[in-house]
Amino acid sequence: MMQDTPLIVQSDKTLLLDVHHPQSEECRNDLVRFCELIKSPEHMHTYALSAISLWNAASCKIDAKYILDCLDRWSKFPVPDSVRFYVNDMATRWGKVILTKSEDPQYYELKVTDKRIRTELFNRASIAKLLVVKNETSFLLSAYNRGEIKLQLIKIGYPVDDQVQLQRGPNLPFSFREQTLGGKEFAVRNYQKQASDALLGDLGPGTGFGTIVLPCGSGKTVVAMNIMQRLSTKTLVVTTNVAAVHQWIAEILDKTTLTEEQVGEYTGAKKESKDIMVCTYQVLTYRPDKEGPFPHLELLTKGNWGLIIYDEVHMLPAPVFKVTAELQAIYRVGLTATLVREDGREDEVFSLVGPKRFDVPWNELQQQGFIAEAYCHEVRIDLPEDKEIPYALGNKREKYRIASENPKKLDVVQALVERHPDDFILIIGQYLDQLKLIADHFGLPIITGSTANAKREELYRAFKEGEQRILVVSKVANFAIDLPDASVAIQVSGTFGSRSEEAQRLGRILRPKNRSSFFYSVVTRYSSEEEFAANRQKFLAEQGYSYEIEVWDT
Amino acid sequence: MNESAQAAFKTLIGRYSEDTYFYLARNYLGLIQTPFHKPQLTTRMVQFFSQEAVVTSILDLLDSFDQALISLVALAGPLTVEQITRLMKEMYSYGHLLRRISNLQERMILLSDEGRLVFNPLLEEELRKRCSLRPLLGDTERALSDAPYCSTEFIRGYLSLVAKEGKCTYQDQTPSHFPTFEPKRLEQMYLALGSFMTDCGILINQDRKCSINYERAQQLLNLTDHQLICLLIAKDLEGEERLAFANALLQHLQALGGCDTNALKLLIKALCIRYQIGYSSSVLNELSTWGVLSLDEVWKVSRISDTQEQTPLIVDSDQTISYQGTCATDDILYRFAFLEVLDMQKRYRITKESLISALDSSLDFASIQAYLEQHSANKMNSALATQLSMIAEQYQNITIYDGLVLTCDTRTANLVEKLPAMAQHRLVTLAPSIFLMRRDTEEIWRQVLRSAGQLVGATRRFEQVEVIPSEEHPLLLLLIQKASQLEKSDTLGVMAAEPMGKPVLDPTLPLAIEESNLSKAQKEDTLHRYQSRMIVRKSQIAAHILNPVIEAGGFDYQGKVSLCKQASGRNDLVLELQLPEQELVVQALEIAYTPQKEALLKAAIMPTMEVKILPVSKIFLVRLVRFHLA
Repeated sequence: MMQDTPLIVQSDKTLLLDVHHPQSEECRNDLVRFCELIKSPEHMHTYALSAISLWNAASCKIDAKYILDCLDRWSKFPVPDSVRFYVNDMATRWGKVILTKSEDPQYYELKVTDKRIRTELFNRASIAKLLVVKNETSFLLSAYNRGEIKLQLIKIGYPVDDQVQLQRGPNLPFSFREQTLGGKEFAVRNYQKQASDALLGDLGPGTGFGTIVLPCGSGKTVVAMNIMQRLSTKTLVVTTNVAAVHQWIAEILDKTTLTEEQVGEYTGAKKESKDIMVCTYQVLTYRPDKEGPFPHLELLTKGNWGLIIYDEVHMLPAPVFKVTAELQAIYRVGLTATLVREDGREDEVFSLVGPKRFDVPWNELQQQGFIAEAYCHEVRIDLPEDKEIPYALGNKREKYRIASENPKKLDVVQALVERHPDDFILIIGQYLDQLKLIADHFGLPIITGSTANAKREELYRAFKEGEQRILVVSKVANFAIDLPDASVAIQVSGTFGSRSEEAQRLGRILRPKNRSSFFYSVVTRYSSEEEFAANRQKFLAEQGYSYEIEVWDT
Repeated sequence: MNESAQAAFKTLIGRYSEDTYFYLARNYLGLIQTPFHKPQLTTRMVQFFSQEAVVTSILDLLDSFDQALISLVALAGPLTVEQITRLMKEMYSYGHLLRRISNLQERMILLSDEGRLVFNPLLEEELRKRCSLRPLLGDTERALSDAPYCSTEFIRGYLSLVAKEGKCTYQDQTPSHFPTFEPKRLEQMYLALGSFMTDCGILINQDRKCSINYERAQQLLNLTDHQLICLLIAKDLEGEERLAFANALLQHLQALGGCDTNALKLLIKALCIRYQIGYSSSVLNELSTWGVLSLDEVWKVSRISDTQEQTPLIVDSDQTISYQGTCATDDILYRFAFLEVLDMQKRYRITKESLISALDSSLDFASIQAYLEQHSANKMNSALATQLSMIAEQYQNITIYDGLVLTCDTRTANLVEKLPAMAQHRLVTLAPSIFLMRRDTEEIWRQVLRSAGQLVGATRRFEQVEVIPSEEHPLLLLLIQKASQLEKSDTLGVMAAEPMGKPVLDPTLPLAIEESNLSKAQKEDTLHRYQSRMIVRKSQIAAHILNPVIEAGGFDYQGKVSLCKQASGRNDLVLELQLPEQELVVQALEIAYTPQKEALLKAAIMPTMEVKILPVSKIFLVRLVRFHLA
């Protein structure tokens, strides 16, 4: 009953892959087509089958039979019946509800051939009210409710296969430069082209929307630009913060023939109106009072866009979801390093932005040299004697702060900086006093939330161009900041954030370069900081990074 | 044929009543000339049943019903007729059962041993080869299911979760640890296990916290899965042989694979008789609770695996430890890591809390390190090793002793420090003449001090501490100990070596009967016995009538009355009566007449023995059946 294969299929729908097995690579290549990678520690990687992963697969024409054949082929033990049932049940739901255009342009046609599903739709008031019966197998649906019906149906376990042709936006021809403005050779990498192809397909019905999953540092921006170039249309990019807005604009101008007159920003500071616009989620969801409308959401709805790019789509906020439901006729792409959302709204991303169209695991890109190899170290140091009593007497918050601001960390930072004399280093922390102390001590520039955008830009530029080798940054630098030459990050304080936040933080040093990357966390021994460190260690180990603990006697 | 079988046969047959003895002897030996010598007749019967051809013919005449009956006797041991009819009442009518049991006795396949039916010792060896659970419990062959059950691996996971949570209650997240279990069943098992382990003193609920007595838990974990299930089934039963009963039941179920409810009850009841256990419907619940059986139209039996080889531990960088198979009985993983998932691959996670829990329970860090090094498939992850060492080091920074403070003068202090016999009792020297002494060896070190000439007073208490004596559960612990000695024994073959079909009657015998010089009545009687499979050799065809008339019906009013009269007052004869709307089996008590001369049968209705008076004219058919041949 047992075969010598690398996979164990568990009853809880997780799949355990023995990475040391000679056939593990081959098996993994099959698994990624219908499973999500949950964690990838040193020896045993965990994948999971979920409704979304199976629908993602089904949307790529991978059916239940194929999946079960794969599982039977690779599984060491017989596949549990409960898993078989689940795969059959979930995978076959894709394609049961199909959205197509109708004779009347005001309406779409929702085809539901399965009688049981039709009955279920009738019995749900929130769904029934959106539908008008056309015939025995079809309903009519107001074009306005295209997103809403997709949302409602996925909540009850029926994904909609949207086969309505998307609208082409206004034409805006441009091309890629062979040499960037910065003077470097440039070409879109193969996997970046494949990602664009997977999303756009033949541009026919059912294509042109979805999510691209690529690791931090692998060039998701280039994938998005490639899609922009192929569609050559008015585009809106929504990203996480102003610095990221500027980096997007800089990237677009650097690598394409688009000009400054064509590319603009829409932020709190500047509100332009150009053919290619980059804005933040923050500005879109800004409203003067809690109950009032979102004045800037109109940028999304009334911009006559041909393409919308959602950067870090796992952070898409609720109001944007709502508007996205109304933008179902527009080409759209979500970019992310992880499909996992802390709020569990993966199904909404699936419905409204679209299914996952492309995914490459980070270790494959690492092997090909497209992202840097990373080593994580945790340095533990004691608390100075004079801090022990205040620590013991402090409340939870005070304890954490005392541990985080352990003055001995300065010595560690000094030693680590000396250990990496040729690297570009980011010193990351949570407490501004501590960061200022470090910056003053070493005479380094510091970027915090209160640093003016112009100053930030200047410092990022100086770092990128090699004028400044070390930057002290607060958590503002977590997301979407492209500092390609950073290869060492020293985290002196900071809670364990969300899983995605930690991934992003590490992502800052994963840009490809000719050297390995190092991520140091400096932690006070025997303190509450260790708890956060333990979470970080767990997370990073699960992601497959090597993790070492060093105890320093400072 | 061995001598002991012959002797046993002679003993059994020797106890038969004269009527029965001669009835059987005349059937098998033919005409018996007077004067006769009874021991000689018995020897002739032994010789008759020792002939290979006779044995073959008798065995060839077995059908599937016979096979079911002999299998029941093999399963349950010697049974009375009443026990057999009670056991099989759900499957066959009372009358039918009586006829068939009686027939087996007439064919001398079963003999009566003081009211209990046993195999004819001369045929026993061959008969046992033909016993099978299938005709008795259902013909459909069923494979064992791989449904989860309460295994020692489950117990380890369970205890690890109890250590983690400090309670033994089922919680919302519990099913995520045991994904192979159906949640409702898991909850049932969880509750039952908690209660059982508390009763055994393995779990100690005190101050709203549940702790584990690992020494006792180890006794349970020393069992194999089979022994553990036997223990769980047997724990609430009454009877000396309850473990043996559970052992037999489990083995038979494993051999059977599955059956319907009637068959299952029959199996349980039969084994209850064999092991003298009072039948309790709770056995079925227990089997279901512990996961031995699951209902899916019919009862499916879970495969209770023998110990499966454990793969080396995968100690991964995310601090999980996983393996396949079954841990060694003395495995300690569950003590220092918390269960994450118990599935094909079992996964535990080692955390600060889990390690502290282990150290608190007196598991020393060196053993944990040695265990991990010895059992890991790969080199131990260095981050994990460092982290564990740091936790252990921190743990050792403070030690709290459970001891007694001894303050003394300098001379005594000198003794306490220098006497080798005191060394093992002295925990810590608190000050030059103040020592912390072991509480558990107080009597010994007091004695040592006394021997050294010291006057040792009573222990002073500043406050009275109520000591709650730990509960002892000798009976349950004894049961666990006994369970560890259980061994699997033989079960009945699931399928017979030669499945019984229709009996093969010798076609030459009717011809021989027809061509014999017997009278018509003798021929009819012999032919009738031939059809009842009592005639296997031509030598049995003889000029006598053993069963003159056994049936009367319709308008043969006198025949019916005659049969009723013949059976009245006889314990070895019963009547089967066909009435307009029912069939009854009765013991005839007497015949009485109404003033109109109508015959009335006073009879005890079997098996309740309720007495009724039945007009013979209302009886459509009367059939005589030999009952209790002995």
